[in-house]
Order: sequence, then structure tokens, then C-alpha cells
Amino acid sequence: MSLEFTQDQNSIIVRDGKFCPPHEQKPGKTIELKSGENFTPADFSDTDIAVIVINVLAFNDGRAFSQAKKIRTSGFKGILRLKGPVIADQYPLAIRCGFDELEISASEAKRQPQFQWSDALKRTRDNYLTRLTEMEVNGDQSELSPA
Amino acid sequence: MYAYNEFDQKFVRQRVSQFREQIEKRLNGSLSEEEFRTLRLMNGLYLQLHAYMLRIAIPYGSLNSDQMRKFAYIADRWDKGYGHFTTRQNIQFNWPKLENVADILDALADVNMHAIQTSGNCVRNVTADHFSGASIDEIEDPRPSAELLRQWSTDHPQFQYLPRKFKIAITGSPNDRAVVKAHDIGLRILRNQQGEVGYQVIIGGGLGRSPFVGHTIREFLPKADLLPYIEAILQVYNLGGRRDNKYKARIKILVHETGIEEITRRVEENFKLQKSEFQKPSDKLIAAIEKRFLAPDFEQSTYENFEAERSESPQFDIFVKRNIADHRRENYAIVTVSLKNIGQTPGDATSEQMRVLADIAQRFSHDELRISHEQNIILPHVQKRHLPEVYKLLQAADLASANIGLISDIIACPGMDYCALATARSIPVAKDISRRFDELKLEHEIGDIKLKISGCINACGHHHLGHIGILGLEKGGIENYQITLGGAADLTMAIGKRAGRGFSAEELLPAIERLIGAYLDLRTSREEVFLSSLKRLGHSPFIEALYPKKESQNVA
Amino acid sequence: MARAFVTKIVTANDLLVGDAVYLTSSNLWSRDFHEAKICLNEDEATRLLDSTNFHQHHIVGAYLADVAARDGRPVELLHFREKFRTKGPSNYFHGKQEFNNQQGVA
Repeated sequence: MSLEFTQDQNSIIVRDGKFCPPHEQKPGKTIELKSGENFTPADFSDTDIAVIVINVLAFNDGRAFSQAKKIRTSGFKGILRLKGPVIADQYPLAIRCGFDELEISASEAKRQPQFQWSDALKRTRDNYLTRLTEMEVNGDQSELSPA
Repeated sequence: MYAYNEFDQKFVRQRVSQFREQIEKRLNGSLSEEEFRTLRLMNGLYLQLHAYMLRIAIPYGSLNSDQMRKFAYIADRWDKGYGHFTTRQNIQFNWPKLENVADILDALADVNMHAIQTSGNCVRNVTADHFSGASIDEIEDPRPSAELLRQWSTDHPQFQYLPRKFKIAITGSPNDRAVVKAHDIGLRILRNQQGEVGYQVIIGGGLGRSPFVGHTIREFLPKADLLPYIEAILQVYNLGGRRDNKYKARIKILVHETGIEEITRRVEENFKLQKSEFQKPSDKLIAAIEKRFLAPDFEQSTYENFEAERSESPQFDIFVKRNIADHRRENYAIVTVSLKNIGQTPGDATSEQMRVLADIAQRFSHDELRISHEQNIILPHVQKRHLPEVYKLLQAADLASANIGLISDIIACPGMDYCALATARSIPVAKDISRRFDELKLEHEIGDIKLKISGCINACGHHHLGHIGILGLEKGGIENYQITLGGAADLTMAIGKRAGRGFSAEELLPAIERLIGAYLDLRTSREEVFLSSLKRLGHSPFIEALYPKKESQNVA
Repeated sequence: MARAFVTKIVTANDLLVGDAVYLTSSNLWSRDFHEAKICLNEDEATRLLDSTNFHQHHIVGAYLADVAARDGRPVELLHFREKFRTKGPSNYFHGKQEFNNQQGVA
């Protein structure tokens, strides 16, 4: 884990389905994690941490998704950013795991224009996991005989 | 059958339109082939030796007649008039064109079917006992649990980019017909001492390059805890599984290298965190899902005609003995329809056969069909009084082979006739073996035996689990076949042991004949099946038969 | 000592249809391996394979396959896997063998 945070001059932030300029300097620390890097919830108990960035080197390295989920489970409320060669189809997954935004290179952004990200974002809502938490289960206490 | 709702329908439609866009993105350069490959695999689309191949999920092996008819339609409209049923309760079409795939998926969505997560490094189609809901020995129907796992795993945000594929199987009977110990996670429904229903959880089983029998990680998991526990296992695997070598990336290797004790500790610790993440207990969710499983409206009936037909027709009687299993209702039977006709490709059915099966299921099996991991089709709820008629209809469609459990009931992967990963062909081997023992009229004499063939080390043909296993490899520029002995796929799951050097394609059939000849000579009686002889005598006499000394070879 | 170089051709799968295709000397893809450009040495083979990076909108997964050649043209693919790819599966008369047959009839 390192505390120095470097935002690539050529990189682009994807937030709310739009290409955005980098954040203005915010108060608080920024922490960078490598994909798959171990941490404990205590590492983020410092309320001074404003941003956690998880770096991935390959789009098909899915560890960052579980890391993000674990960080959120442990109660982190700040900004969570996924940085690396993400593809637009992964954007809804990242949001659902607790990321707020993505940081992609300018070349990735050129290859995958903004509309692809805003389209992808629409697919965040209808998913089975959300539905399972909303599924009506009350009132079926009566044991059903096996089918 | 499970009745899908509007949400399921909306979800699959959305997924089809997403895949349509992904194809466009590949064609216009927005996605590289590497990226598109990952996405198309998640949608069941492979690129094989001669063409694309589309693998469609048949969740827990259950389907109705409309769904089967849709397969027939797809086979005729976009493929070559047939489909191939696989060991993981999927159907594969071998000749789709990329431009038609989205249309095929839309046609499937008409009957609530899809190809989601039938490939790729994600949680695959959850498989279950093919006799679910029908078998006499069942503790509980595993399909509602399987359906819950299907919903949970579908597009799960954390687990679409796992280190490697992840397979879950579930059985509701003490007789394991789902090979649960050979899966990444195997679940066995059981009762604890208090009589509560829960799961034995097994992890880290698998075949392939490094076969392992799974380890029990939990002797008894309450039904309420199913999702948080499975989520915990997957999260531990996603973060800890190896990503440096695809041959070492399955959870079985993580378990093997880390040790089951440490993995158990990590999973149990993670499980405590997960419990608060799942607001609805899994048993309640399963109960809600169970309501959508429309149980067949079983009828009372007598079946004197069935008994009469048995005594009149020896052919029908043999069919009953081989292909019929006991149903939980006395006046019903479970029919296994063999897709292993002599000299044909194991697991293949023509579109015409699919339509016949759909019609029979609709008229005689409460509209239900199943696909078994042994690549056969099951009619799970047939009244005994209808069996003579069902038999005649099957006969007319060339679907009445009475060979279930015999040497021609072979599991075989597509091998190098289709598969880009294969190192040798397996279909011609299966065809030759079934033809040869049919010529010799020895099939029924040999009796129960499991022969399984894989065309490469990935073991899609489950060769490790065959009483006789055949593994096709390449040696010195030609196909070469290794024989393993003593594998078993039931709850006593065992990995077969290699007998010795491999055989060329020409040497293989005579070698199998010598092996079977030795068994017929050595068995104490017809009651002692091949595997029992092997256990009683050890492998040596069989290995001697496979590798005879020079002089005896000259005599032969 | 370095192994003797075996003559090679470049093959791939067609992006739209998925079948086996072969790179020709006019930089196009043919379904018939007899039309493929042969490479007589390692450098030539590497260069030709690298050139397929510009063909990604037509093909998938280009690689080199060993061939026997006569008079500067490929006559036989050497590996059995590659031979299968020029025909089709052995259990049905599908794939290239079917196509070749149609051509013969026409």
C-alpha cells in the first residue's frame, strides 16, 4: 500500500457515465492498493482517508471487484476508484461492487467513447442480487410439499 | 418446472441486446479480440476448429417441451439439424455463424432460455441430479436450491472475472447422480440429527490435468445460510486463487496448495461477514422459489397392460430392465432415453428426435424432460400404463436403445472432431467400441460398466471416473490413447489409475477387447460387474490383458 | 544445432463464419490452404504472422502451421489437427468437405 497518489495526466475519470476532468485536490489522504493486495478493515479506519484507488493491470483480473466489496463491507464511506484497463461492459459490475468511479487511459477512452459508458451504466439496476434482497418471502411460512 | 417471471424475461432480453452490441463493438474495433473473447465466452460462444459453437444452459438439466422444440427450431434454422447434449446439462450447436448468434439467443429468450455463463471464468450452469423430483430415494428436490444459486450467480458483480471457471453441482439423494465430489463446489442435501434439512458442502473436487476428490468443508450447513456461505467460498477463491498459470487456477489447486484447514478457516471467517450482507435467509428464498416450481399433477392409475407387454415382448422387457428407474410414485416410472445408438455420436439428437421427445414429454411426462450428465435424456414422470406406447414412439424415432449403463452407453467429449483444445478425437473411438461389442453380441453379457472418453487432459469426457477411462493425447504426431482403470463417479468417487503406455488408434479397440475378455474370464458370475472384479482382483490381471507378452500376442 | 526449418503457412479462423482460413500471397484470406503463401524461413514466417495484426477485423487467432510444399505451393498440412481443419469432423459430412463436394458437383 502506498500513500503517494499520481494521477496520470492523460487519464480520464469516468463518473456517472460521463468523462470528467480529474478531481480537484480534496482534503484527506488518497491510498492506492494493488489488485489482490491484502488489507484489513482496520487499514481504512483512519477517517482522514478520502480516496482509495485500486489498480488493475488487466481487464480480466477480477480481484478488485471483491476488494471493493470488502472495503465497503468494512464501512468505508469515501471515494473508491478503479484504475486500469477497464472495459465499458464492466462498469455496472464496478458500481455494484461499490466503486464510485473509474480511471482509464486516454487511449481506452478514445476506443470506447463516452456513450458506451453511459449506456453501460443503465444496466446497473436490473440484477438478480438486488432482486433477491427485495424478493417477497413473507407469508410463505407454510411448508410446501416437495415438487 | 420452474415458472420464470417478467424479471427473468427482461433480464435475458437485456442480456441479448448487450451481446448484440458487444458483437458490433468487436466488428467496429471498440473491443479487441481478447476482450470480446472473454465476453462471448460468458455468453456461451466458443470458436472451435471448424466454426463457432454455442453452448446453451439447461439449468439443473430440466426443460419442458416448448424449450426442447425451440432447440429443434434453432438446429434447423441456424445450424445443421442436430444438437449435442453435454455432461454439464448443456446443449451445444456446432455450426452457428457470428451474425446469427444474437438472433439465436433472442429465439431462446422466447422460452426463457439463454447461454449466460455457460463458459468463461465465472460460475457456470449449476447442475443437479437428473432424477430430481422423481426419484424414490430423494430427501428433498435440489432444484429450488439450484435455482437460487442460478439467480445469485447470474451476473454476480464480484465473480464474472474469477481466476478460472467455477462449477457447482447439487444432489438431493444419498445416491449421488450429480458427481458432486468432482466439482468446485458440491452440495449434498441431507438431514441432521434434529431432522433439519441442510447441505453437506464439498469443495475443491475436479478432473482435468490434476484430478481431485472434493473435501468436505462443512458437514452440515443450515439451508438459511446457503448464499452467504457460497459467497464466502467464492470471495476467498476470487482473491486467493492463482492467476499466474491457468492450469493451476482452479479452486482445487488453491485448496491443495493452501490446505483444507486454512481454506476452511478463511471461509468460515469470511462467512461471518457475509451473513450480515444477505438480508433474506436462503431457506425463505428457496421456499419462495419452490412456489414457482409447478409440481406435476400426478394421477392414480393401474398398469396391467404394462405387465402384459413385458411378458409378451422380450424386447420391451429388456428396455424396461435397462432404461427404467423407480419413481417415487408406484404407478409411475422414470424413463432414460439413450442418445447412444450403436455407432452414433454420444449425446447427439436430431431436430426430429427433439420434436418427438418434446411430444412424448408433453403427452406422457407432465411436460418435463431432463438431461443427464451421462448425455442421455430423461422422461421423469411417465405412468407405467403408458410405457408400452412411449416405447413404440421412441422406437419409431430411433430412440429406443436398451443400453443404459452398458458398454455402449459411453460418455464422450466432442474431441478433435470439433474442439479447439482437443489433442485427439474421441467420437470415432466411442463409435468403434459400441459397434464392436454389438457385433460380438456381448453387450448384455458384460453388463454394467462405465466407459468414458476424453479427447484431452481437460477431461470433459470424465475419463478419470470411468471404470474404464480413455484419454486421447498426441504422441509423435499421431493420436494416442491412454487407458485408466477403476474410476467411479458415485459417492464412492474414485480417480482411475493409468494402466500403462498408450495405444495408437488401431491398437486401442483390440486392447479394450482383451480387457473385457479378461473380465469375462475372471469374474465369478454374471452378478460380479467389471468394477467388482477389478476391486476383488486388483489391476494386475487386467493390465496383463492390456499388455500381453509377445508370444501370446502372436497366438492371438 | 538448430532444427531444420519446416515450411509454414499462416492460418486463422474467419471472424464471421468461424471456419479455417489461410493467408495468401496477395494478403487475402482463402478457405483453401492450397492457395496459402508459404514461408521458407523463420524470419519470413514471423513477419507474415505479425502482418496479421492488421487483419483483426477479419480473422481470429492467427498462427503458423507446418506444410509440405511443391513448386512453391503447399500440398499437404503436416499435423493431423490441421488436416482435420481442411475437411471437417469425421462423424458427419459437414464443414469444408461438404463445401468441397458442392464445388465438385457444380
